[in-house]
Amino acid sequence: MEIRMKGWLAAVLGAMAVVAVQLLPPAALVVERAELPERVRLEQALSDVRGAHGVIQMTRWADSLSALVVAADPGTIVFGAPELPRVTPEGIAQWQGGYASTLAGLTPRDQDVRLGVFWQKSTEGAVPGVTLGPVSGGMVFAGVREGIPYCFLTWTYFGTVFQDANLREVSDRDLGGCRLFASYGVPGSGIAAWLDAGAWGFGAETELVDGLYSVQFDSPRTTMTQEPSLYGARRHALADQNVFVQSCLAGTASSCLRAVTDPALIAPVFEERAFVAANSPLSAYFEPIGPVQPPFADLDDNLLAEVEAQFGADSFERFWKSNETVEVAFASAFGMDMAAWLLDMVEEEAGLYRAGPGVQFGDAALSVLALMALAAFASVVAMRRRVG
Amino acid sequence: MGSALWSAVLVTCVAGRLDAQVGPATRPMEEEAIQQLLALEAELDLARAGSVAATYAAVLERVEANRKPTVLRQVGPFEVLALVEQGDLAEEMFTDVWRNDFSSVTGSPALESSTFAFEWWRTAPSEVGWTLTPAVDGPTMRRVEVSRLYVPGRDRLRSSVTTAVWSALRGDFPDGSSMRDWLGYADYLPGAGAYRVLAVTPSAANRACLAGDTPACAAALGVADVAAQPEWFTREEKQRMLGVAVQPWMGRADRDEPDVRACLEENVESACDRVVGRLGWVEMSTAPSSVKTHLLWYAIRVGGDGAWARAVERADANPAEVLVAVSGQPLDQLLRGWQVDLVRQRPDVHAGLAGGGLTVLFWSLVLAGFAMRSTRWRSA
Repeated sequence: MEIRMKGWLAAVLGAMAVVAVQLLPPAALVVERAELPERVRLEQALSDVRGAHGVIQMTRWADSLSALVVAADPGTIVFGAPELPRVTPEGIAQWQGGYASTLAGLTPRDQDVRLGVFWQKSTEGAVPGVTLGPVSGGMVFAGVREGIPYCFLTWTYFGTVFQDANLREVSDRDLGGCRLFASYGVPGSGIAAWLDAGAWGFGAETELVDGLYSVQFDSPRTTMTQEPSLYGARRHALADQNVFVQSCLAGTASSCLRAVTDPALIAPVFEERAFVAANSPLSAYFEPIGPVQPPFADLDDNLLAEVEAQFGADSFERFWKSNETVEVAFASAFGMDMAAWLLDMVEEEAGLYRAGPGVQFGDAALSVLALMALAAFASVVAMRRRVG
Repeated sequence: MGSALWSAVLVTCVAGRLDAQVGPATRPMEEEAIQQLLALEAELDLARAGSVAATYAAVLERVEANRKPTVLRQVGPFEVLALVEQGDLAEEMFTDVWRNDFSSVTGSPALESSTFAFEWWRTAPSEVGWTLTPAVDGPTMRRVEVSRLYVPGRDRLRSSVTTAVWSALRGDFPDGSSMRDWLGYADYLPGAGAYRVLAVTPSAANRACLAGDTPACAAALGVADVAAQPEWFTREEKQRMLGVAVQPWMGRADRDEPDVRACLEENVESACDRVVGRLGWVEMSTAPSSVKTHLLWYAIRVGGDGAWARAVERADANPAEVLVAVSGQPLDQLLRGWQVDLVRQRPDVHAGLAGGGLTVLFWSLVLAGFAMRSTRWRSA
């Protein structure tokens, strides 16, 4: 009998081994080859040209447009509309009206700051015959010229296929990265250094949306901020950004601080854009929408607006004008640790999750309870059993 | 990023952002930067030429290293390249696909300029497509090189071949033509698959179509006035249709027209009805692209000899006109026949309760059988 049982076991194990071998994946799913050195050189050369050209173009834009903006009367906003056949005066008036009404309702307002919004052709200011740089979408230019602070936005268009409808697409936008500049003026050196390192995006939106992302975390409506894991539990797609974002989402406050202050983590994600932003008067690109936008995708676009709304304009102005590093400025202006505040914000906006392996407490408790119930059931049956 | 010299020049030139100095003082340095840029562009030109030459040399090397015994077979209009040991399998698959799905295709320029590289590999690909030296004006190599891991059975293999053939044939409709826009880029699905995607796409028009309403089919497929029965479509669906039609590359409606603005920007549904009704046909209606593809191939089968050639000749016409010309039937009759044919191919598949129940029963019986056998632990 014992030999037969061993035979059975051997047969089962053998069958399992055969099935496992059959189910093994192929040796290679794709044939991987090292990239040709000539191809790597080409990519590097292309990147060099694009970055260098972008710096020249952005310097020229900043030079010419800032001159227009600072020459305008205080309290006004300078516009530059595209001169194209299908852009009508009515369309331009509607586009300008959207920004003008935003400006009229802006409080507080630093009247010294001159503002502008311009549509620029992608080839404007380019060196003829040279590969174009990373010029697309929206950009923010903020600075001081002849002692006058200025901030202007540029939107880029390509070719001549452009009409009033394209203007209307941006007419209801707020002043984006220029909004806080228009309200509080030139930031102190500590905050300016932080903004220039890549923090302009934290002021890109002024609309406060509470709880939206918490809902998204619990429902499968979107894959932008979450994705299913292999075993059904969800985790944030945001955690793919970097280890500090992952750690922050897992509840470590110091990592939240690092994620929004470390220049290496908040610089533009595209190398050429980062180069142009770091080496030209351009302050910031409007980052692409989606999970690639560091550090918290679009969840952090209204981070500064949240701070302003929570602590009030006076405290925010003290923060904005501070010459200290951003975390020191935060603590002295608001009387609160920035890391702790960020963790609260992340928890409220996105929800925290457990990082790393391990059984959830609830799952372990349920398992133990189930085992105890089954053991009790078996004991009762055994105690009532009569033999013979 | 960039050379150290280049960075040094530019950082000196512009020096930061909020403390940036802009204006005439920077211009002499800009001249220097432009000279640097032109030098970089010249380097880029050299790098481009070097990359092209190296890529071509690598292709030749790869082909030379990948010499394997292959066979080139002509199966109907298909030229098929396969490893010698898989030649018969390739011929069998392509013959099956040709006879059952594409037998009415003649004179396809896309097929005449294509070679299909076929391989069904188990552990690692042989890259049969890389056994021929590519020529500048030679045929396009279309690869059907699939793993048995992902394509385990012959049905799935046949489906891969069908998809490759359809993606080649689609090239007969030029980019920007009405038929190309209307068909989209969906795979070729068998009838059961087309039924399934139509049935599971939530839309009143799709449901009415499956229930036998021919005008609803025309509207769901986007080949007729989709606003004729407004209740079939939600406002959002009509806005989506119009949103595609106003794109610059479509150019079928003007975004600044008052009705278009009212529909897209002010959510006025009556304006949507007026504009969408004027379009006549729409690129993106509620029926998925694979269902439109199924209708086209149904029309081609009905049309018989020369049907594909007639479709290609009229690639830029209204899709309804093309379908009529291809099938030789009035649109109503064609859609009625297609709907009946599609519903007939409804998959006879139900939720897996029966299979699961049988599995549970089987294992219960097996374990019960073991339990009833004598064991040495039995107490009596």
